Amino acid sequence: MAHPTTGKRFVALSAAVALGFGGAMIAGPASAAPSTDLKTAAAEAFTSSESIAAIGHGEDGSLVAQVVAGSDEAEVEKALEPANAVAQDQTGEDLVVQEVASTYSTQSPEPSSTATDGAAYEASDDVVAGAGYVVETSAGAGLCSVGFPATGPEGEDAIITAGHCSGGEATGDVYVERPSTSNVFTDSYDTAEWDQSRKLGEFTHSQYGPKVLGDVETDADLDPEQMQDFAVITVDESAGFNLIGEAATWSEESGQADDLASDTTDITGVHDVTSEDIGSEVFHSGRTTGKTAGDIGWDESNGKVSIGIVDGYAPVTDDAGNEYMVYGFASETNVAGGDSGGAVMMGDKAVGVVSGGIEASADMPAMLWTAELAEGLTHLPGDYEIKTSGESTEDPSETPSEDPTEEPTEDPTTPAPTPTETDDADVDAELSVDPQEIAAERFLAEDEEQAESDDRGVKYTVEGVEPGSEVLFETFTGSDAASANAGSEEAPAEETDQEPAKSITVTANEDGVAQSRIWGMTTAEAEAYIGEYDVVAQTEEETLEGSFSVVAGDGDQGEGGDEGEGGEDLPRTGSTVAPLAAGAAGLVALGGALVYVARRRQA
Amino acid sequence: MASDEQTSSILQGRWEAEVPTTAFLEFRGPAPVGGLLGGKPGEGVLSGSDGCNGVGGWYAPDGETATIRRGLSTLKACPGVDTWLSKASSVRADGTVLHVYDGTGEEIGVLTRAET
Repeated sequence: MAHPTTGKRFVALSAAVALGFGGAMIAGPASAAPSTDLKTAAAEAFTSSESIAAIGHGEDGSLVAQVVAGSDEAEVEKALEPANAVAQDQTGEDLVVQEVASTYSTQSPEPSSTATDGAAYEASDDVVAGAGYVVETSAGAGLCSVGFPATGPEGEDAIITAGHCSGGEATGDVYVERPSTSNVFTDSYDTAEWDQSRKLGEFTHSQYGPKVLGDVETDADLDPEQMQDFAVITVDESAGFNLIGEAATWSEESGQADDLASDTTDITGVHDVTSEDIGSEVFHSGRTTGKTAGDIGWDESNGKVSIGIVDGYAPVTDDAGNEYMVYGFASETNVAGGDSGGAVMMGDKAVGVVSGGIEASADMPAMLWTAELAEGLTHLPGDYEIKTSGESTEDPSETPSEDPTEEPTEDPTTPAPTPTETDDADVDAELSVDPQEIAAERFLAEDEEQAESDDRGVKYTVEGVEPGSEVLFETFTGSDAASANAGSEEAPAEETDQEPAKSITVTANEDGVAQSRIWGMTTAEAEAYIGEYDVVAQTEEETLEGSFSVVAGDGDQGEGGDEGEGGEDLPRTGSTVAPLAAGAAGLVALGGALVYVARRRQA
Repeated sequence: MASDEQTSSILQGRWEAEVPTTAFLEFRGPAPVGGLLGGKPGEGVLSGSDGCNGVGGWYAPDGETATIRRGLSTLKACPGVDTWLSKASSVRADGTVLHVYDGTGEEIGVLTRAET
C-alpha cells in the first residue's frame, strides 16, 4: 500500500465513506455536524494543497482525508498537519489518508472511450429525437434526452432540448450516449457509456425560468416569456452527425443494435396544444423510460378527478431546490430521471420537451410536465425549425412527405391556397363577433359545456368560405387589455410584433361556416379579463378583422372600459386576486387562460 | 410567501444529507391554501434536492412526523450520484436527526438539521 506521504496511517476505506461528489467538501456524521476545528483544519488543507480531494468523518468516528495519488508528498503532508492534529485531539488516532484518482471535478463515470473494459463505443452518425446524451459542464456530467433535431437561423444543425439540462446556462459539451447502456435496457444509471471521441455539439442557448415561484404573486406575474425550459445544442457539423426528424421508439432491437434510427416514429410538424387537446394522448421518447404514453389530463379510469391543464404554469424544482416556473401542459405519462429534455409528441406532431415529472405513488398516477414547444420556439434566439420526417442533414434533396410550415405553430397539413380570390367564393367571407361587448362575469365559463349552454364568452363566425377549408382565428389583447397579463400566450412587449393571445384553426363545414368560441377560465377573477380584444380570422383567401371588449360589471355600462391603464396597473386588488387554481397534484393552472372550442359541426 | 412563522411544526428548517452533500430537504411554513402553491389545509411547503434533481412539494406535519406530497421536479440523470432522497415519502424528526422513509415505510436514510 504505497503512498507518497509518510508518517500517516493508510487505511482502506469502505464505500460507506463516500463523501459525495461535485467538489472537495467536508462531510459530517449523521449525528453531529463537523466540529469547527475540523472545518478550520479542512479549509487550511484545501487552501494549502490542490491535491486534497476530501476531508470528513469515516467509520467509527475516525477522521479521513482523501488525497490525489501521485501528488507532492511534502506539500500534502504539510497541508494535512492541522487536520491530523484535530484527528489526534478528537479521536486519539492519526488522520486516515486514502488515495483517490482525482479530486471530485465531475460526477460522471468514465466515458466508454477511456473505459478499461469492453471496446470503445463509437456513436452512430444518426441522431434522432429521444436519444440520450451527456452534457459536461463545470458542475459535472448529467444525462438528458434529445428533444428535437432542428435547423437554426443560419441553416445550421441544432437540437432543441430542456434548458435545465445545462442548468439554464448556455454552456456545456454534449456527447451521444450509447443506447444499449441506457436505463431503458439496463434499468441502471451505472451502466451509461458515451462516445467522448466525437462531440455532438454544445449548448449555445438555455433558458430555465428564470422566474421562480416566489416571483409570482398574482396572475399578472405569469409570463410565458419568463417561464421557459428550452435550450439549443448547436451541432458540430464537422463531426459528421446526421440529424433525423424522427423519434426513437426504443424498441429492444434498435437499442441493442445501438441504432435508434432503425425504429422511429415520424415527426411531421409542430402542434400548438390547446384545451381542445385535453383527453388526447401524448407520448414521450427518452433514455430512461424509453417510449411511454399518457393522456393530457388525468385518466378517470383510476377513479381520480380528471384534470386537464394546458397553456399552464408550474414550478419545476431543480437540483438546488429552486422552483423555476415553466409554461406548458400536464399529462399522465410515466417519466423518470434522464428523460429530461426528451421529445413529447402527439401523434406525428411535436408538442414539447420533458421538463419535470412526478413519479407514480399509491394515490396518484405518474405525471409529466411538458414545456410547450409551440410557445418555446418563439422565445429562442432566431428562427429554429424542427426537422421533419424525410429531411435529414445528409439528404436535403429528399422532399418531406408533409409540408413543414414556416410557422410551426399550426397544422402543417393546411392545403395550399390555390383558389384565387374569386374562384369558388360566390360571396365574400364575413366575420361576425358576438357579442362585441360582454360583461366580465359573462365572459367566464367553467368549461365548454357551460359556455355553450349559457351562451357565455364570445362567439366568432366566419361565413362564406369554401366548405372544408381552414380558417385561423387569432385573438389579440388590445393595448389596454388587462388580460394581456392573463392570456395563455403572453403578448410580447413590442407592440409592433404582437402575437395572438390565442389562436386556433377551424375547418369550415359544408355550408362554408367556421365557428369558434372563446371564454375566460374561472380560475381567474373575472376582472382579469377586462379590456379590448382584436380578432383576426384568416381564411385561405383573405384576412377578416373584428373586435370585442370585456367590460366591468354586468355589461350595461358602455363606458366601462377605461380602467385598463395599460397592462401593468390592473383593476383589481391584490388581496382578492387568487386566480391560480390548485390541481389535485398541486399544479399551477394559469387563471387567465383563454379557452377556445372550435365548432366543426353544422352551424 | 413561503415561510411564515405561524406553523408549529418542529420540522421547519433545513435538513442536510451527508451523501450526497448537495441533498437536502427544507420544510417551510404553511402553503397558501387554494392559492398558487395549491396547498391543502395544514400543509407546508417543501423544497429540496436529491443531489441531481429537485425534491419539492408539500408536507403534512403531525407532531415530529410528516408525510410528503411531491410536486414537479426536473428529470436529469446524474451518473455516480446516489439519489436516495428522491424516494422520500415521510419523515420523522428525532432531535437533530431526520429519519427519511420511502413509500413502503422503510427507512432509507437520515438527514441532519443544518446549523443556523
